Amino acid sequence: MRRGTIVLAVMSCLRQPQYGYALLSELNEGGLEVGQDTLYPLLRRLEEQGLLDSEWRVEEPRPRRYYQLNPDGEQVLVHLNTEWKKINQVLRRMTNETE
Amino acid sequence: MKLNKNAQTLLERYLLGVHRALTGKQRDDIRAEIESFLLDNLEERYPQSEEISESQVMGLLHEMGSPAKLAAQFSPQRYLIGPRFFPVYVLVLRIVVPVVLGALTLSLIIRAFTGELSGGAASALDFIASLWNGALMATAFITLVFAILERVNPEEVAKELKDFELFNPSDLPDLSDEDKEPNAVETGFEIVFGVLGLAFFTYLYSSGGHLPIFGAAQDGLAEARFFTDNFMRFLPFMIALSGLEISRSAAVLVQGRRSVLTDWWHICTQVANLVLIIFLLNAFPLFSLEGLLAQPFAADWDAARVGTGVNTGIRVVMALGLFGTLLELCQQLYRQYARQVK
Repeated sequence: MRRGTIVLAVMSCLRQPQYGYALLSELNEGGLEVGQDTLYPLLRRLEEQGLLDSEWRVEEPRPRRYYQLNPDGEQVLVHLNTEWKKINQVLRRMTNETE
Repeated sequence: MKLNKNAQTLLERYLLGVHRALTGKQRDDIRAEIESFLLDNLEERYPQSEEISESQVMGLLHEMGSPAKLAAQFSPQRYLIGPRFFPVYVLVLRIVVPVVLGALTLSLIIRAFTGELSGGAASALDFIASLWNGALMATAFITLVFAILERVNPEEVAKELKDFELFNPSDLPDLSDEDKEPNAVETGFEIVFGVLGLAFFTYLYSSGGHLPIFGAAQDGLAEARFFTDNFMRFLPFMIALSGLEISRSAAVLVQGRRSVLTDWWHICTQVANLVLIIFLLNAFPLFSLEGLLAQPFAADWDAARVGTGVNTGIRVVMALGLFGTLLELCQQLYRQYARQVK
């Protein structure tokens, strides 16, 4: 379950271009503990699947690789969000939680 | 942020270690990304430091782990033989390697009895080398076969997934005898006979076509050549085919069922068998009785007649084998066709 939520969180963060370390910090500060050993392979996998684009930016103090969702990634994120909301609703009902 | 000289050297050494542990076209890219990650990390840890020291870099690198470990985290998962085939692969290795080693040892014992082997350290080293060579060749061959199967497999998995999406229970085919669980005893016998065949062929290969004749010589054991060079030329193919058939039977036994893969595996080895028999039939004489006829007990035998008779007999048996294999192959192909039509 955690694996799926990390994918959703990473893709959500990558609607704006981000480099690896900043993304890692954002996820951890947001309360989702993710290590670099999880994040970087995930970024590469998503890029291989054609959901992310990446580019090296050299204008900063040091070269950094920026990742961003591409249009295919945006579409998949919409599907994942819808799916997540459905699961969330079902689980809320099952665990008798209220908003 | 700046690294002092020692810290910079340490970081570069670490990155070199990572780069060496990486493979593939993206290794330069991954190395650069790891460098960027490490520097970002140092910057966040020591925001006030104008210069990062060697001990500060050392602390971070300790947390990151060895270069090989870090490289593995950034690389995609790689394996030669995946989890699906690995148990079968190990089982086949456990069967075939001891058989090859046993056959080579038997060959050595017989050669020692027949006086072909000179004693001493050279012979012992020769024996160890041939054992090592045999085990290595058998392992390499089996690994190669499974590595190929592993790489063929993703297409089958993709097909199975596609079939799953289109699944309709009413389309399920009826079970025929072939589709039911394979008989473990029958499959076990196939493996045992395959192993015996493999042992025999391996023994022949190492003895150069000679077989022992018990009770022939005065000391009770002699050796004679029964197989011609024509036959010996095809022996590696026979060993390979035996290995393939054992592997298939072992796969069926472990999985507890036949699959599309094992069925096509069987068909391919049947085709190879067919081709081999055709080549063998065109390569007669395959057997020579000269060694046997030179023995004292065969002094009165008519060499020409016995030789022709044996070769003719074997030719008939092989022709029947050819017919049987062809028949079985047609049956197998028909079953595959019928399965597709269903």
